[in-house]
Amino acid sequence: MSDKSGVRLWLPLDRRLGPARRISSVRAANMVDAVIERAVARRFEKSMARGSKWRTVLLVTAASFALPLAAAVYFGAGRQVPAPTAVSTGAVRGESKQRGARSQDAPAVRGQVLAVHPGAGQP
Amino acid sequence: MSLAIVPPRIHPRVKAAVAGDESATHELVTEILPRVRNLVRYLVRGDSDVDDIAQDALVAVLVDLRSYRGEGRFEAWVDRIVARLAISRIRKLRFRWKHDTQYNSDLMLASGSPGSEEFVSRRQLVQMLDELPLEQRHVLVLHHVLDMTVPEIAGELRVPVETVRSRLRLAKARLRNFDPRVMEKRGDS
Repeated sequence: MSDKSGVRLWLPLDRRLGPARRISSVRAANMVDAVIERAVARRFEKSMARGSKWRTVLLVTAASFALPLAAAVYFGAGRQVPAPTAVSTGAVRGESKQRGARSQDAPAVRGQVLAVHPGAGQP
Repeated sequence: MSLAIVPPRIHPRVKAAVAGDESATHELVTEILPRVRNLVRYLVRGDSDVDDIAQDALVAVLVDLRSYRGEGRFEAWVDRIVARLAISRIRKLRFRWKHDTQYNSDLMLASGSPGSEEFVSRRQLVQMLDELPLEQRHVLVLHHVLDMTVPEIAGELRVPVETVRSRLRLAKARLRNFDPRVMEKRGDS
């Protein structure tokens, strides 16, 4: 142990006999003031950080409830509204007219394709 | 025989400081400042970083003050925090150290003042410690100044127990080479 080895005798932490460079009492007092000031600031930062953590937790919790609810409302309401159906019906009708117009041309195209094919039309 | 559970005794000043008493905190820091500076000086090479690290360590002590439960001496609790912070800081600062030229002027200033012989011998000792590799130095100080056991040091420094033992042995051997009196004070072999 240390007492047997004698090293402790040479390494005391005693205030008077320690190895640190001597400093004036004014400097020591300044150091003490600076330390207390910094500790107070650090504690304040810590408590703020803790507060902001709680705020984040609350926000995330609220969001986890609110977002699915909002999504459910949005999609649920979307199914019940009839207006988009009417619009899409009109669009489908218009589209079907175009398709009809196209279908008149279609046999010619198909006929051309068939005529080009070498084995086409033969039994 | 009855076994009574004795509640841990906390010094009233420490209690008051924990409760937020400003004057008690001031007195407490003033009281432990020299001890903290000495411990940091044992762990750090040269004098230039001692006060910065000591201040950081004292801030850490004050911030953690509420976690002190009165189990063990308050000074020992402070020493552990200071040593932990100082060693982690030294790991970051180690490349900056260069030989300090302040020793001689300090020794000249100290001569003739009360306790000067003691002070001079401490300064000479840390000068020797400055020649040790940091790893060996830290193990030596933790073991012989803070009375930490080898497994405790291994846990603190996150190195195997055998490594701690070997560092301790090497550090002692080196110190003995520098000055045989260091290890011969109480008949250490």
